[in-house]
Amino acid sequence: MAIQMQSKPTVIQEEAFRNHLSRLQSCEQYPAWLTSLKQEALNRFEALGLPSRRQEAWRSIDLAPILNAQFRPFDEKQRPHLSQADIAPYVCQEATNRLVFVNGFYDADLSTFTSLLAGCVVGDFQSASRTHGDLLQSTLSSLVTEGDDAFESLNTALFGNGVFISIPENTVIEAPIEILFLTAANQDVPQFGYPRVLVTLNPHAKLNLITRSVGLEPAKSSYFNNMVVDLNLLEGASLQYTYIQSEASNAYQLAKTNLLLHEKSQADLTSITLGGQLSRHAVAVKFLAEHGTCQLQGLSVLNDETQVFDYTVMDHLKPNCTSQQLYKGILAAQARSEFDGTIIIHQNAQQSDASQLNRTLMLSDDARVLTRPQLKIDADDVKCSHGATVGQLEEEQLFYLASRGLSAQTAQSVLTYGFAEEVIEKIPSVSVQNQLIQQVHKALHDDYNG
Amino acid sequence: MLEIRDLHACRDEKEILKGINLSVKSGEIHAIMGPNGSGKSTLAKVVVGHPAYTVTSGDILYQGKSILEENPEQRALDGIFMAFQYPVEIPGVNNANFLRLAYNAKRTFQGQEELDPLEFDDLLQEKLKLVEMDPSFINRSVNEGFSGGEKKKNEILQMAILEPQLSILDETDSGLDIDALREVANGVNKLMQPDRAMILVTHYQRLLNYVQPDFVHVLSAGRIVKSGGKDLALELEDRGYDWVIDQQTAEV
Repeated sequence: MAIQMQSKPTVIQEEAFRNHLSRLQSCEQYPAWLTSLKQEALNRFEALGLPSRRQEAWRSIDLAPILNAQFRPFDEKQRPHLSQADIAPYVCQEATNRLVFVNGFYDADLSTFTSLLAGCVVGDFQSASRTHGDLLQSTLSSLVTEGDDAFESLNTALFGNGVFISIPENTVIEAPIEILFLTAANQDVPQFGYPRVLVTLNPHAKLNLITRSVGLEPAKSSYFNNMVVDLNLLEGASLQYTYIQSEASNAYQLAKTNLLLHEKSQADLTSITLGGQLSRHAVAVKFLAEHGTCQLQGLSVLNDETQVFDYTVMDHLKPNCTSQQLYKGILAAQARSEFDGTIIIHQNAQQSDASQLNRTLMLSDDARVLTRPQLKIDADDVKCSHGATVGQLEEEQLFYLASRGLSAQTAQSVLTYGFAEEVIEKIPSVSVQNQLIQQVHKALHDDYNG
Repeated sequence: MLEIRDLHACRDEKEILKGINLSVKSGEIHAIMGPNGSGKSTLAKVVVGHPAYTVTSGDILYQGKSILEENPEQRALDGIFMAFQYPVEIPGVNNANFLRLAYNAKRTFQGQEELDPLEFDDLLQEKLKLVEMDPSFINRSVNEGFSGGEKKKNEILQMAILEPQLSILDETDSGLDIDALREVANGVNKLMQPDRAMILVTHYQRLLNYVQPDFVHVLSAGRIVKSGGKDLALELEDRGYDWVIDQQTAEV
């Protein structure tokens, strides 16, 4: 009886949510192929249904705040006009190409392009569809998968604009390409965005990519970003990708990153979560051929009552691939985090080398962490390890710093930052590292800036 | 400079120091020797305020004032320094930044302006030469992956930068090969000045070949059982600790 009482409101929420979505759709005019692709995605979303807490991957997330809010799409007419000075704190100084979106709308004035090597496609969907329509169509059609993630299908059904990057064979892009998704929640009603990024690195291409989703404070209302990034690395390609989430403190974000690794390709991914009320970043990596390598590291810094869910699947489908994962969390106040990571080694994926470690630093007795590092191994000649640690700052380290005259507050800051540094130092941009150091201290409400 | 009076201290309710009396004046080097478990390192840690130890009675006066109520940070700012027996590794914290933070904490306490990274680097280079330390260690994480000798040198480097009035070296000679021992001892000697004082806590006499103490004290079961000049150290090296302890027991 009690169970029925609980489940009933959820059904009503889901219905309201779906009705609402059907009104959201059909706002935009697309080419026929895209309309049909989006319709398929919507059907898929309908078939999957909203994630329920009975599903392992979603079981500790309370989606009610997202389902209950009547999010509306962002209105282009109400888009604020931002200057270069407004976006300066979020800009990677080493980047020579930058695409800027404000409330989901591409802002050509804020974006920066310098000459790219011949054959490179870097642009928003609208311009890419004019210049490279066939390539965009084939890429989008091939990358949109029959996945089991309802919110990924929802993004496909609803995205408006996005970014398309295709780097030709043997082409090395040295300077980072940066994509900024800025949200200015300047209306009283909650709003809903669905950024999409598609990246193809052709054989032996090399790219350093940064995406940042940034919420401009103060946000007048909550908003919901449903972001999907598809990364497809063909033979011998190499990608460094930095994902930074610093949404407004009353924002919701559900993000999915799909990484496909072909033969001898290499990916180095860093996921940084600093903002939002509730956010989830799922990273799904598939080794589609032999000798691929993937390094995946994450850092989340949480304060107040924020919640972060990191969900990873490292799918070793083929032999001789290497993956390493290191996810770190720093939790203050009543923050909550969950790490749910699975390494899957398929039967024929012999000589796989996979490791996974989740470490959480608790700065408060009221913070909560749930960690689930998992291995599913069907091959017999592999090297796998996983583990998790949860702890506080170490007394001996605090004493060491105090014995050198550092105040308790400074010592705590130094050690906390030191914990974060191991992930931040992996980011291939010094200016972004420095910005993140400041943001980490800001996230911890800490004015130390040594 | 330092006056320890009938000091009793315990850890986890076990009494380790059982009535220590010690007086150290400016310009003096004192060696505290004794068998393992006699309380040497505990004495060093209690003077700098390690939170794991509780002083149950007695007093520690530094420059005429009791420091028992001061926390470790205040004692450090007052000019008391301990070189750790086991320097702590701090991953992710850059050694140069750490040294600058510590130096600037002292400058601020003394009402001086902080040094920026460039200004501090000049000072750091000079001190690195003084302690004969490889400059590559300043851009690594504090003590992380350092060999035993490098860790001890890093302690002496901190001492050279902070210029404490009272330095306590806790088994700084342990784990050093002969070359590293000589380099560390050279650094220590260069840092000794008439207005400063040092306490060398050591199990072996060999450090005292390089750094000559004015006084040698033997600690046993939480008490100083014998004091003498530097010749006492040589005698201990020759005869071990048992005869001193036996003598003390006989007297009791």
